[in-house]
Amino acid sequence: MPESEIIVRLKDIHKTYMLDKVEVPALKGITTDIYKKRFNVFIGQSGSGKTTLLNIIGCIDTPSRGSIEICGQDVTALSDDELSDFRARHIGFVFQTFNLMPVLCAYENVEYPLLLTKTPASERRDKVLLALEKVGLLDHKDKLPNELSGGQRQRVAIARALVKKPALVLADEPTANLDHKTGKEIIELMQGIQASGETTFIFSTHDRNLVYNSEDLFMIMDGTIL
Amino acid sequence: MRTFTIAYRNIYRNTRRSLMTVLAIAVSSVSVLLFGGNILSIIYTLQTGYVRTSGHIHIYKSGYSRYGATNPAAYSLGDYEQVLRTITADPQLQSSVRAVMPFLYFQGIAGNFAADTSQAFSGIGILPSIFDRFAGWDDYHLKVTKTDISTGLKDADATGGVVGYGMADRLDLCGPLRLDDCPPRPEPKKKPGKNVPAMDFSALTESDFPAGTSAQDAGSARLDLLAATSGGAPNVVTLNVRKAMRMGSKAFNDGLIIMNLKLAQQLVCGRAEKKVTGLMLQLDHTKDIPQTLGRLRAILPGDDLEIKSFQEVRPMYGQTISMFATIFGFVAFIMGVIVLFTTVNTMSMSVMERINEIGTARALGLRRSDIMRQFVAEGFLLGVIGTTLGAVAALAISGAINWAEVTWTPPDYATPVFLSVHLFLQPLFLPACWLGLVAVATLSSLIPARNAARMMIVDALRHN
Ligand SMILES: Nc1ncnc2c1ncn2[C@@H]1O[C@H](COP(=O)(O)OP(=O)(O)OP(=O)(O)O)[C@@H](O)[C@H]1O
Ligand SMILES: [Mg+2]
Repeated sequence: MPESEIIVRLKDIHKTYMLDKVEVPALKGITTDIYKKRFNVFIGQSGSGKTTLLNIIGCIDTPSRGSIEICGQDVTALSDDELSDFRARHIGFVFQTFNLMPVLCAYENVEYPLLLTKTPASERRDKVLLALEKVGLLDHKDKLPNELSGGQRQRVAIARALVKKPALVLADEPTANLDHKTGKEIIELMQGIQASGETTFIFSTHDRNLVYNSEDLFMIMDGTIL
Repeated sequence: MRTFTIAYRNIYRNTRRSLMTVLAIAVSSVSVLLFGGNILSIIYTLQTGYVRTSGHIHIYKSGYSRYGATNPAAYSLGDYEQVLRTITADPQLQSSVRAVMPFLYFQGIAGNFAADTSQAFSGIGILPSIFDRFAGWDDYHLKVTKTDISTGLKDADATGGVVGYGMADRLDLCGPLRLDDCPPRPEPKKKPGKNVPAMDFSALTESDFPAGTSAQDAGSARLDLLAATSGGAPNVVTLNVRKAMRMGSKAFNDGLIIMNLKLAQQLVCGRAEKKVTGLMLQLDHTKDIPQTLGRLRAILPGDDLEIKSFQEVRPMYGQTISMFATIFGFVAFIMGVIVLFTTVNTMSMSVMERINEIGTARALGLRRSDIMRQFVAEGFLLGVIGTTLGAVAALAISGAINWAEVTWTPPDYATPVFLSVHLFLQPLFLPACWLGLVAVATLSSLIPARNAARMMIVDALRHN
């Protein structure tokens, strides 16, 4: 693989939490490269460090040690505001608990990231509608999150993550709060979008059955990648 | 950003709590506005009273304020006609001065010998037509009392005057003046065998009109006024009391006689040069005082004259304002504290409930400052809604109070005055209170907003 195809480059990432003055190592030196436009799956048991690693890749947490480069940018060197802007432009999130803004309707939730990137109003509408169409929720665009089912909410969240065409979409166990069938649909949806689009997906799960056909599997165990 | 849309919807989200907060802010704002509006009414009523009875600016002979009381003859104004002419001829003063009037202030004893009563009084000689013009000053459109404060005296009526209601009662003038609401008087016990009429000191008169020439008119009463002339000799004139007036302050009501300047001068100056205590100027607007003072000092011989604003002549006015300002400041402070605690409490609860949302928003790319702005906007909106509601309520309540024409009698007053609340006497009062409370609400939300902005994203996201 050529250098230019690398989107995330992790070098000796350590993360240690302090719990009542006891050090809890969550990540123990992770070094790996993640390639563009793939559907990357991090799989590991509960407590293995998936969330911790995805948070660090998503620039919402910092490693205790090691360096991380995203799109060629050493993000450990960025200030808090610069990191905010970096996330706003390059990273989309899909959360386990959907995390839609409860006071905004589906349409507004999807529009939200575009406001952060100061996308002109003229382009916003088309982009939002396109994103909602991709996840099949055009008919529900005016509903508030609490008027949608879990699967529908997660679809809105996927539309929200994709609408700004980020380089990277991070989905930390996005199916954990869904029943198996809906979870499968969500993964198929994401894989379909990934296959047709420009975006790199990083997806984590502890459920082996969900991801039998993934091309890029990372096994995480006890804070290390096998 | 959609900061205000989101803020507004979040306020709606917890309707009950927001309503309580908005109500607390509204009640604080109503209290501040009504209380302040009432104080403004009192202060401006006081000012209107001063201005109506004694104008905005007084001109005395130099030294009067220190020595005038003990040596009125030496510190009264002899060439007042000249000063008067200078003032009325000045084009610059014409634009601000509404009326000018010489006045003569003195002390004496008034006797109603028909009823065997007498008392010490304060007398003021005035030009009736100008005095009544003074009484018509109403720059603030205030309803002060139900009673008319003009004397109704005629300039040509050289021996006419009015007394306070209390004085009329004390001197037993209720009958002659046909006052129907005097309390009944016990019959004086005549001392047996000694039916000598009380000493009539009208023999002392040094008058141009010989004593007794002005016959007593029907519906009026006669008082003999005794005072010392500037030369030090006792002098007596006869006053025809045309009516008894309800005067605001109890001291005036019980002991003031307002009379034609000619009569006062006849009593105090005798056959000597006719002098006055000073001149009163009434301006169209109180705010023109400094400018008018400046002009007067420029065109009048400043060394010979004392030119003073009514605030200087009556320090109680300024003292009253500072007293009320202090009380108002205290009340406003307490209300501000209530708004502060209410807003801090509400916003803190709001932040606690939305930790997960804060984490999500930060992950999506909001900066700390954006989070801060979001919550401050909510505090600001709560403040705006609350204070606006309060202002509207205060307007309605003040309108109702003024409409109801409730009266009260201020301390040391003889007549009741209207209890009123005026929110627009000081144009900046309402906007300043509104802004002040909105600012408190906004600033109060800074603390919870800062806590929200400082959260670690991963911790906030893990929170459910
Ligand atoms: N804030 C924290 N403070 C202390 N320890 C933590 C903290 N967050 C995670 N850990 C610990 O770090 C390790 C990795 O946790 P992490 O949440 O990354 O695992 P995970 O693979 O996402 O698990 P799951 O599948 O249950 O979500 C665990 O041992 C966990 O107890
Ligand atoms: Mg996890």
